[in-house]
Amino acid sequence: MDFLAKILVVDDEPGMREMLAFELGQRGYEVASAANGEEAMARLRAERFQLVISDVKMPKMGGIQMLEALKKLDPGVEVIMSTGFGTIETAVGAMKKGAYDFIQKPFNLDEMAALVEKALEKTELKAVLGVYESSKAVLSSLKLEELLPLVAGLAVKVLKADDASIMLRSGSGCLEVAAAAGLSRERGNACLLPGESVAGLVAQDGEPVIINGPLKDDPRFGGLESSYAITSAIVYPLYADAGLLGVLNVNRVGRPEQFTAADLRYAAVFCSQISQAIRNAELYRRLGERLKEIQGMQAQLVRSERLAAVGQLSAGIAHEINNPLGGIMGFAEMLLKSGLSGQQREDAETILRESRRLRDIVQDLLRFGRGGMGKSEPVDLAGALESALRLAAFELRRAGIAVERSLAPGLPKVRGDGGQLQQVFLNVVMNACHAMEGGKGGRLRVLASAADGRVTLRFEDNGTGIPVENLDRIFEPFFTTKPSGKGTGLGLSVSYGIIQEHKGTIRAENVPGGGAAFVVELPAMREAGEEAV
Amino acid sequence: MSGQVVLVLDDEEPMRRLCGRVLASMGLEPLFAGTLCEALEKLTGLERLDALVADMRLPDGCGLEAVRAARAKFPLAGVLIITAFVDGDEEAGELAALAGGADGVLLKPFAVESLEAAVKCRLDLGA
Repeated sequence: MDFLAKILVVDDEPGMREMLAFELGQRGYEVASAANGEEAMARLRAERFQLVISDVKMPKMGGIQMLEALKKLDPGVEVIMSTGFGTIETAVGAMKKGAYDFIQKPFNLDEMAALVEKALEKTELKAVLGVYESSKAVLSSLKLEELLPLVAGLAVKVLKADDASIMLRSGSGCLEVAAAAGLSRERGNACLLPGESVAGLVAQDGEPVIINGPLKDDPRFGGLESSYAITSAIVYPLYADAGLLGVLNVNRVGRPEQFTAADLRYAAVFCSQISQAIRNAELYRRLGERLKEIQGMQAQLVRSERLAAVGQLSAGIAHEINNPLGGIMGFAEMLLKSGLSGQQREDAETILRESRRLRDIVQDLLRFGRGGMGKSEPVDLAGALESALRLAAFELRRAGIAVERSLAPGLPKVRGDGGQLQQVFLNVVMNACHAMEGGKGGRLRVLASAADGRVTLRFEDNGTGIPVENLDRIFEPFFTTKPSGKGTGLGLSVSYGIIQEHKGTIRAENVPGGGAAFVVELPAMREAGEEAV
Repeated sequence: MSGQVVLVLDDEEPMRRLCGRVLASMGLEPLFAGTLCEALEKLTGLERLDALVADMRLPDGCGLEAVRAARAKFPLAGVLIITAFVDGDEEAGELAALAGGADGVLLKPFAVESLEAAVKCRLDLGA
């Protein structure tokens, strides 16, 4: 079935109308006629013609007037003026008002046919170009959720349809309405399986279809019922590199004008544009994701660069500090041995104590800068935990903090450096200790359990919690909220490094109802005998 | 152990003085060098050396050169390295020092008692 252009012949002489209708009909065109401009406009408003051949002088509304009215209604329709009273002036006037050409009566029929063909070619080209240009502009949007409704709206406009919908293939392979124009909400929520309904069949076969007349009368879709009065429809598959993306449905509802082959060609241009736009939007989305990923990686990189810089500096700094520190500590010790008075003794002790603090800080720095795994041996976490708690016992007691332990029996060992892990636990415990300092009824709960090959230790305090904006930063070196002199800001970043070396994770979170929790997860060692070599 | 000679090599004057005070309080006779050059000169001129206490990182070289020179001339002298040179790995530094001929390594900052104990140990070893 081939769809040819529709031509409207407008002439007040019935003989001329009949003759043209017959001749053009013989050449395969679909021809309708009108006796004057007014009648012609009524038909043009109701249906779409590709070409109008009109007399100039007619009763009621003349050809020039009709031409003006038509160009306002639809500038895409070409008009050939024909008249027996033609003068150059009339011709020029008609051309100026947008007529395609002018032919003088009596005309040679072959001449007329050639002109019709040329005019139609131009209509077609213009229409396709129009579709291309308008869709190109609209489809430059890169966000699919904005783009698809625009496309649906444009499809309705360009194809002079009543409604349009774009169905895209979902992850499960179903066709789902992604955007619609002119459709009610319920209909806009349709979901079809491949092969189901016309859209499903098009998606399966990959061939565009035009359906004119009631769906149930079309032998290709025997048995399918349309749920509403679609009188003409185009269903066009959308393709991209990867295969079928979905389909475009364009419908005319409750009116006699049917889609033609020309409309199908517009749809083709249009759909290739949609496919391209969807592809672009998808590429854009992927680009956005990738960009985000890269930004994340960059942030991570900046962080690790900073850590590396701290690491490299720390060895040098440690050397520079340890040398004079050796002198300070040594002479303070010598002073203490030299029989000082009470006050002097106290002062010298202060010098020694503060020097030792400085030494500890430097050691923290060194440990941090050193990186790398220390020992690699089976570590009993409960043991490391207990010794950390023992080391912190004085501080805990001083701050009035009660420690509750809940350690699952038979906790598996982990592979690593017991001393380093003990240091992590000590850091976390001391951190909790400081968080609860000054408060009353401080409580530190230590929970340990094992599941899925991992051992999890949870240190939960009922202190002040961690401000949300700091949650991401507390493992950064030198980040501290403690008052000056209370912490180096290295404890947790050292811990972070150690746990990473042990292929584990450490994170901080707030506990609902107040307080913070540090969660350390480490890979459990497999039982002796089954441990991988 | 009276009259026993100990050479202290460190580029930091307070460290030299501290070691000197500790050694003197132990009844030893400390000598001092602030650079490798000075230490090598002193070693050449010395007739007796019971122990060398040397820093590793010196402005004009490595303390281990002084260790080698001391070992060559005074094979029985005890050698103690005192260093803050860590470079992120004490163990490697310690191994290097021991491989270079030292009897022991003391990391700065150290407690006075540690130095006393270490020197006493070296002297006993050397004696």
